[in-house]
Amino acid sequence: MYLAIFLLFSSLLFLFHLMLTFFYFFFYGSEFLFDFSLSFFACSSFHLSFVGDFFSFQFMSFIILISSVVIFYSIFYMDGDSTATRFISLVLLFIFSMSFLVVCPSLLGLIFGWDGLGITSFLLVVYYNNTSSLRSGLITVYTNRLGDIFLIFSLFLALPLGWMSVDLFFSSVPLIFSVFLILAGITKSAQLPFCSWLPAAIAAPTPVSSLVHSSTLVTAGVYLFIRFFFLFERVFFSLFFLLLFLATSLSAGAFACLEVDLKKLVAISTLSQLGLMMASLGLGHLFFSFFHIVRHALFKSLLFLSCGFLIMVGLGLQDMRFKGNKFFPRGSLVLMVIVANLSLCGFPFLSGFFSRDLIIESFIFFESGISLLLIFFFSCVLSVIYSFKMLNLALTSDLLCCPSLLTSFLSSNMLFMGFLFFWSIALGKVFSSLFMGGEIPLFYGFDKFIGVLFFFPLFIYFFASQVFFSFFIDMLWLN
Amino acid sequence: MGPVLSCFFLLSYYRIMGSYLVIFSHGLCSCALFFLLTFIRKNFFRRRVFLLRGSIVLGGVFSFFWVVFCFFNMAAPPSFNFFSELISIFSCLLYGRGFFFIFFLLSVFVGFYCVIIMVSVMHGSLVRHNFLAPFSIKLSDLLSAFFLLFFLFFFVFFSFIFYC
Repeated sequence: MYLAIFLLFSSLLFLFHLMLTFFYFFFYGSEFLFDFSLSFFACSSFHLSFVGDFFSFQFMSFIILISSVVIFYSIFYMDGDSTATRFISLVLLFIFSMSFLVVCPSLLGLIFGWDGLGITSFLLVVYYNNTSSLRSGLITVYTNRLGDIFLIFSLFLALPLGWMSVDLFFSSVPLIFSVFLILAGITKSAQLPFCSWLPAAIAAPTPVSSLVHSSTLVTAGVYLFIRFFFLFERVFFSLFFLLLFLATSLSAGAFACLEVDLKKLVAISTLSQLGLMMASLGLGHLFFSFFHIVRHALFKSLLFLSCGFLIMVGLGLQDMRFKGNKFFPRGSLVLMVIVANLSLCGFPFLSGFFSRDLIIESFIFFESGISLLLIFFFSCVLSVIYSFKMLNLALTSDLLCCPSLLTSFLSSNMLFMGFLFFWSIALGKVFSSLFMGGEIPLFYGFDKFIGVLFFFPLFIYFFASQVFFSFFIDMLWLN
Repeated sequence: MGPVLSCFFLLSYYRIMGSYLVIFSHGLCSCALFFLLTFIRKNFFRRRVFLLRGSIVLGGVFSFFWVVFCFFNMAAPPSFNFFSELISIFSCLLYGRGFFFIFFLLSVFVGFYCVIIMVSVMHGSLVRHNFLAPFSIKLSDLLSAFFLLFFLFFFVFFSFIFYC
């Protein structure tokens, strides 16, 4: 029975995704706002507003696509689970809260989605009844609760400015409000003082981790900053927060290079990418950060889903040193891991390249001396190192694998993950051509090509020596 | 009740109404929690939290209501508790910023213990004994819990719009 429910919701969400895609193409360049003012008798009115602009339409469209794929994937992953109804209802609540957060511009409407995300993510992290998941779930919920309280108190500080409606957008706010809002955002997006919950939250089932770490929970903070960007530009330009975000990116990259747990490595790489987006916001580049969110959501969810399959085939072992592709007949799935990883580290002309390269170039133009630039470059190099380490360890050794599980993987799963696969290759070029217009590119033509040439031999060397040779040799010998 | 009194004795229309709403919402919510505690007592025959574990696996109405009311007690947003706490805390904070830190800590600790209450009953491995046999829910139990939930949701709009 649960199969029918999962299929129904997956296909409904996919239709919704198509509709939203139509919307952001059709209403491109225009924004509209529904403001429902509910007033009764002699009382003050209660505002509930929904915004439809480029950000909300595109982000929500890809959230819905990813959740559709994830629900379809969990038909396979949650097979035989006795509480599948609880799972699907929690996942749907989670998606609903995130959508509410995306479309609500007012603080009061936003806090519904914000708190709902915290609670449902907690219930999903403690989905498995064991001690380790309980521990990580408690870390998650306490940190998120702290973020909720920060948001509630920032709501108090916006009290004279129209906290229930979108009047907030047309007023100048006090500095303390901006600081509280930033604190709320960095608890949700796991920046440095509050970053411990994000690697802990991998105790959730893998489809849920794929939702949490790619598009929904951790990007809520970044999306809040994008939505309220013009309110606290002056705080964002301060060097302190920029340094904080860079330090997050750097330390997460360093930790990811030392990590051997496959799923935890993917989670920590999310942390480093979040630091990148936040740093881009700190530079004042709203659009680059948004484009990187969308691309990151796509390739990271693809990476999580395919890594979840690798973990399942390896009988639940998450240690990368025990993984291998010796009996791997599904080359397409390995291809998905490889493409998602390359997109993560910004391989030229995959989708991650276009957004991350823009952030790098904007850093070059930022006037703050060379030290910040060097920190930033070093964190980017670390992202290349950990992603290639993941490819090397997870795919080339030939130690442990359960061939009988390979047959249980639905072929239709490949079709649905194929959407993510296609977008994580093509989204960068397509969307930067379609939506960025003429004014955005910082380097173009030959200058851009120099950057590519600088990275390209390195990639080829790593890729040829570490991955491809042993992969093809294994294919020849055993399949 | 301390915040309620501190809110009440500041004596303005918003503060008195805020404390009134907190009393009302807390009455409904803790009433439901005590009712569910009686339910635990009747069906598990024990009330010590370290013996009560893993009842979310049962997945019934009891688990649902326990989770929902624990989070409502924490003042999670779509509940009446959230709005009443919002009004009372805000009206207190308008009196003086000295309340800021106190209410911050208050909200943090309320969140912490509500999660602990929820987790201690719901999470962990289910202790398997005979006491699961009478675990059946009567229609009257379900109806009373449902009425409480209905009141909490209903008063969100009704009272918030009236008193805000």
